[in-house]
Amino acid sequence: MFVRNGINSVLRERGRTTLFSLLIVSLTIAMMLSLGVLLYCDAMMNACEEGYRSIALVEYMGSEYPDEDEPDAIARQASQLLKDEDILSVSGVRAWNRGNTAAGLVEGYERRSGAIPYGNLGVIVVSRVSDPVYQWYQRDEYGDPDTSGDSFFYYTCILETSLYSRNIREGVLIDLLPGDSGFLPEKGKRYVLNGLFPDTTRSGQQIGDYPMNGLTIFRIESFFEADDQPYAECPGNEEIPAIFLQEAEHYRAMNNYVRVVPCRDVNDVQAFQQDDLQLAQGAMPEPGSENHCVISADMAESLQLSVGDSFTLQMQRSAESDRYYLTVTDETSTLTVSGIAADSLNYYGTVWVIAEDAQTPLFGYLLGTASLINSQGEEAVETLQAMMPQLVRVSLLDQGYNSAVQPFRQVRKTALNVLVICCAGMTAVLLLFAFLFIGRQSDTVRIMVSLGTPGRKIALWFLSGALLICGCSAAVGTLAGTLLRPAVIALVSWLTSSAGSDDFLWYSETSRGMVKQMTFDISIPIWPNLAAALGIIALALLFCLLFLRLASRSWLRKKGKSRVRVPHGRTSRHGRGGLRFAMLSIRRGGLRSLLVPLVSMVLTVTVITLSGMYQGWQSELEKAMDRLHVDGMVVSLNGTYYSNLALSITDVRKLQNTEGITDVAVSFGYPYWLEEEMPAFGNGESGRWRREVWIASQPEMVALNDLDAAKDFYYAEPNTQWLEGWDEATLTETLIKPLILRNPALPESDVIPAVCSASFLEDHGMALGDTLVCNIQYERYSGYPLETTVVIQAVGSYVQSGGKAHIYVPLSLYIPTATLTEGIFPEEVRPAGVSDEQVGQFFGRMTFRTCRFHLTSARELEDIRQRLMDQGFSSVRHISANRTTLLLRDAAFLKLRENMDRNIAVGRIMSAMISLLIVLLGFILSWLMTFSRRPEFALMRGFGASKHRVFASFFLEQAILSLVGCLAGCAALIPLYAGGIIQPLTVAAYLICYLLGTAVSIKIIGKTDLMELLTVRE
Amino acid sequence: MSVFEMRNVRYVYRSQYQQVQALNGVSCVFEPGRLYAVMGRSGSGKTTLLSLMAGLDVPTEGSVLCEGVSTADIDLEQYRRERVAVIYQDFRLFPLLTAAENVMYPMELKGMDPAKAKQRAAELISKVGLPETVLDRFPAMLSGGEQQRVAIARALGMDTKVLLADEPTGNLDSENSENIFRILEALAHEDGYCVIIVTHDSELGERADETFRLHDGELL
Repeated sequence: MFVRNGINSVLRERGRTTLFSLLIVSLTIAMMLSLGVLLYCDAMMNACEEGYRSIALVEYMGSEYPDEDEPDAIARQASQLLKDEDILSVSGVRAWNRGNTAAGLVEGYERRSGAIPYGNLGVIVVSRVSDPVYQWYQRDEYGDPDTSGDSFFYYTCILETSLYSRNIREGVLIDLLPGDSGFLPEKGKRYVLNGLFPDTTRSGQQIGDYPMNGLTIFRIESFFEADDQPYAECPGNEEIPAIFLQEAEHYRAMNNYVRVVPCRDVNDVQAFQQDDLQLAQGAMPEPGSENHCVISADMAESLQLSVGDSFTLQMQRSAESDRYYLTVTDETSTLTVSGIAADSLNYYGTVWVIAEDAQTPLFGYLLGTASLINSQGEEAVETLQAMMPQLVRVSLLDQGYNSAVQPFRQVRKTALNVLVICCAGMTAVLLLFAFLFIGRQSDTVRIMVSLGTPGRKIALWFLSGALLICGCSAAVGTLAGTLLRPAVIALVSWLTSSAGSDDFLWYSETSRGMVKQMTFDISIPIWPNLAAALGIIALALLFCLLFLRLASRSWLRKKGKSRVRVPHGRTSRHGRGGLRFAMLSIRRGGLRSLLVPLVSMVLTVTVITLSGMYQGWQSELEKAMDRLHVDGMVVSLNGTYYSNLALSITDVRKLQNTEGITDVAVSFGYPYWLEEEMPAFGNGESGRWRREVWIASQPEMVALNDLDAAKDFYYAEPNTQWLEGWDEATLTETLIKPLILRNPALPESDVIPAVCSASFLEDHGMALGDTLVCNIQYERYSGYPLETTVVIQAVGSYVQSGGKAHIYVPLSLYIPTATLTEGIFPEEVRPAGVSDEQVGQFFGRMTFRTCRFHLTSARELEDIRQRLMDQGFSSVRHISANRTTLLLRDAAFLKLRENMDRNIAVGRIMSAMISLLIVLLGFILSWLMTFSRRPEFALMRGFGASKHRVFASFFLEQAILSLVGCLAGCAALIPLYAGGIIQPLTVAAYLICYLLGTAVSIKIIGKTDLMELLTVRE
Repeated sequence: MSVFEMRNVRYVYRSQYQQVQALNGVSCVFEPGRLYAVMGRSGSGKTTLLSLMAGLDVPTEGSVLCEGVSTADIDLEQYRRERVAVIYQDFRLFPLLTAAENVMYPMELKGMDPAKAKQRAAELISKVGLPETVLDRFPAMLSGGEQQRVAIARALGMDTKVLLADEPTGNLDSENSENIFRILEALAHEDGYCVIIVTHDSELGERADETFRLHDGELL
């Protein structure tokens, strides 16, 4: 009976029951959907966490970056400053591997590709040596040798046995150049020789352009270290001196080295992580499984190794100054092949082995690789960057994890907000439901109690009806939400994937790494929905019980003493009309008169604080836009190299003419040396060849129009000391006769202002203002190297970032600035009779080694990106019409903007939602405040008070109370006032909404039948 | 000469389920200086009759005339303000206004200066037999009888010729009931008011100058 009556009582309140049922169903659906989306996003983010791998490259950005073989002392110093334990203690770092790699030797492996450092060295046995054949370098006008010029001689012989050589057949005729060795063979004898097979494919008289007979050439060279003669007579193979056999073995070991990359997890090696290299067979060794390895495809083929096989690796030691000058050690290890990499020339002869860091000298600039937890990658990189020494860069390569996860983060946040709001809304609805359906039923309770109904039965009466409504509504909402969930998740999936597809930012350094495209099959369990539905019912039950208790108490209290609030004050004669009544109500309203201002104040403070934060973020973004500068550079297509480029003058001009790009800085360098520092190489062929190699390894005299283009300043702030009266304009404004117009045989006497490294000046006992004569080697377009001398004056000094002391000179030593920018060749340095057209042809084919530029404003980043795309410039790993590849260093700016945008977006959503909530609260509060005073309203109307007067009485009261609250809130937050109109507007919006709520309430009450109102009990 | 008249008044309530004829052809005349009682059982139409007299609504048919003016021809707000004063069973005092302010309220509605209104309120409070100390008291501080006297004083403050009282003694003990009745009686007989009491108390009905009995919306 109690259940039936309870249910009937509720069902007969049709309007109210329908309203609350709809509210609960709607909120439950919203809750289920937001919960589903939340779980989906969590699952996707977990799947991404599993599917992606993030690493951080720690690199020293020295001037020779990214040369992997450079023995840069400063990079080594930086490496030593890194403490493994500090890096590993950074939150988000899973593992840390140093960049040092080792070299080893595997019996039977012959290197076929990659750096083969001494590939042309050989130790051979020759026989049947001919008489010397004399030749002259120059030919006369008839094509015959010019015997008045420089000459050389060679022998022809049979290469009988090759103790070590690459790709040279035995038993063939070869030409033998004695070089500077002093080799004077006796005809018909058999000799063992040490030397090299010169690369005759390279043009240039000194190297290989021998006017000989076209046979393979072997040039006798001294041993690497031993002082023994590089030739010896050997009547039989058993009589070959030991030194030749040792050297042959040494050459073989050095050229067939195996690069050993020790790591904790092969998956985190950059090549594999960036998908430059894939595993073809087997599996990656488990982290911690020492002596398990992955080998390159050529090794597997050459050594006939399969997955599971083992081989012996003998370690070699590199010389400090030359990675490839290797010495075999006694250290050996047996490695088991876990996997075989796919065939890739770049990685021939490589073993990736699970091992501790290699205790070898550092070559190149990769100081190490940190394996990161994906979700903490960005923060870890920031922390690592903060603890790194100067010029050490930490780059995040996350395979696109953050781009993939970002949409899910945003959607998750939104879903969470919706869920929280739904929960709050559901709580409010259930509270109101319990209040109206049970709390307001004290009369019914009284009747039931008076009829002797047991408390348990009373509870059954009320709870049965209320829970039926809540339970059914929650069940319907849950069912509908669960059925709709797949469609909503499909929508979210589409939204996130479409958001992700736009994530590639052309030219941005943030888009440098590879982006892994992954799809996940995610299924979301049903049980959270069921749990949520049960939660709703439980909450409803709780509130119902609470209000049932209150309803019982309110009746019971009437039996005893009840307290009646008595207002304070005396009869007033002040005021007139509605205002008088409003003021009296305010003064005597007690708690009610305190509640409205208090709530208004709290809400105002909330609104002001929120809008202040929002405004603050916006203003910070604006400031950041002005503060942060974005620069860009031309890089190699893979984004690794920023120097040694061949950037055409046309592309430089394109960049210069691109709106929004300014300060385009370019450079071109020539090797320079001081005459007294050049070793004696001898005048023979060997000496010339060695001299060439030595010159190529020298630092450069770099012509540039801005120090930004200097390799030393790419990743360092220019800290340049200038001689008084000189500044950076020197590099642009000084006009010098370009090298290609100079006669190398008649060096010019002009003094070239130069910026030298401080250590160079110190090493040479120089000070700013001193002059110095330098030799430089340069090329004309024929590729024919020329040498001349120039006089430089040190007008500036800088702190060098790499191992080489480059000298920076004005661009006009290479090309006048006006010629570069406008195609005009200045008269002052124009050779007689050269026209502009000829100048255009002359300089039109020039290329530059480095190029950097600035964006006029970070605000225009997107527009500039678009303009560069329109011009066809390529982005790293994304070839466009123009292969010139640009990289914008916008990571810091984008990061800041992303953070700010995220805050602003969240702020916007939160502000909107909280504003809505506040508006609703304002409305509900004003409604409650007004609605509870219906008897007064009715009485006034009963006495004939006009609607306007009654409206004014209640409206003015609420207006004054809410205004006082808002003003108090504003006064309390004056220090937080950020200027502008947003905060006042938001407060005004709240006030308007509150008053609107009051007005609507009064109007609604006014529409109620007056007779009905007059029967309402106080 | 009648001050108040009901001519063939019919009133129909329409609800979602049914149509109820609350009054059916009620005609009666009320004269000044007399105390009338309208009696009837629950559901007989007493409250509807009072509502129509008080100008809270207009009849479905027929007319309610006050001083010769039909409620259909006058603005009901003005009618309620100037023609009739109502005394309710549960006093209906503004809880946040003092007794004096409650009495002053209808006077101020008519535009009287608060100072004058206060003076008049004091006179009226005295007239209904309450001490001056009551003036500054709030309803919550007064007994039921005192509250009803304040309500009568407030009605008198409206300065109308007709006083309507809806069960004026319904919430009072017998002593207070007697006092209130005497006040109302005096107002009719001494001050010339036309006092109409709507009640189901037969004792009050017998003491009235004239009694109208309602049964199922019709006057017997």
